[in-house]
Amino acid sequence: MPFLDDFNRADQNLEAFASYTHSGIAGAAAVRSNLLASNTTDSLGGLYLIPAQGSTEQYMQAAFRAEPSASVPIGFIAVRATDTSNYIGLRRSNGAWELYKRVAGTFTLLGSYTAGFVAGDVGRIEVNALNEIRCYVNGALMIGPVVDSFNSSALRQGIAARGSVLNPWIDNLDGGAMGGIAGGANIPVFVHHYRQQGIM
Amino acid sequence: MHTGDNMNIYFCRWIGTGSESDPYRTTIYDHLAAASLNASGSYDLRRAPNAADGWCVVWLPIVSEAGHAAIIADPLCHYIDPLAADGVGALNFYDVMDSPVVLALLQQRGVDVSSVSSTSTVVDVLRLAFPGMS
Repeated sequence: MPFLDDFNRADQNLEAFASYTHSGIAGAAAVRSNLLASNTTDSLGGLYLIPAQGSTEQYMQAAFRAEPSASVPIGFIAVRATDTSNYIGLRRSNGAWELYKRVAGTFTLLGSYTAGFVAGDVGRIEVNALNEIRCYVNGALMIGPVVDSFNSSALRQGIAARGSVLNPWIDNLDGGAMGGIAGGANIPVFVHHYRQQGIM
Repeated sequence: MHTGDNMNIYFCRWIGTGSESDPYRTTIYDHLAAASLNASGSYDLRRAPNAADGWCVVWLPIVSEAGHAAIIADPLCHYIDPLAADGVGALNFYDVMDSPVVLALLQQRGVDVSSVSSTSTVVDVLRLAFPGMS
């Protein structure tokens, strides 16, 4: 069953809600006025894994309530997550949606999409069995497929709260297992390309 | 032709130090940001995920001639032109050390790469992957 959290409860550190498996800094994410706030400037911050969904094919989505006011660090909704230093994540930064992987604490920018922002925009990250990562905003594909096999056996997803204090940050978290492979493989992308050019 | 619905494919070098302010990224992203463009996708060919030690295949629906020109003016971005008679140069033009990575990726997908040599071009290799290409 997908895991849903609307954060409609009394103010508390997120780890106080028993459903999450927390590591890292206590109180890195906190419920504030029925929304979730990012509550730390630490770079590693805290990781909040949702209950295990039993699959390496995963999605996470959330309604983003605000973006940072400047190009400052901020956290992610994350898939294939193991700890605060290792995950693949989507975030809303200042002016763009960004897809990163964090490997042993280092950052790799896998994709970005420059777009305006409206509070409540729903960002979604998916990864399938072919290690194709896709990011959607309000249901429209914006980044991907990006093929990356990092942490391909990781069974958990969650929230990586880090980088900035931002209140509110997100709402209506939704995470679960993917139902099969969405879209085509990376090789068919090339096939499409050459067919478009009349070569195949 | 660099406009319309077609996708362009580039081989791009990874740069950066892995910090948040200077993340590992393909060189093309700097050009895309300047032109308010977005990549459709990419395929990381690095041998190690936390080092700027290799190449990335990036595809995107492009682009103005000016945007394409800005990308290929970067010596770390190479356009893969399927219509060029000689491809885009021999594989060893990119980095001999990266070629085995490319070939391994194809082998994992059942492509026979036994005919590939150091003088093969990138398009030669792609033609093995897609036999229908002329």
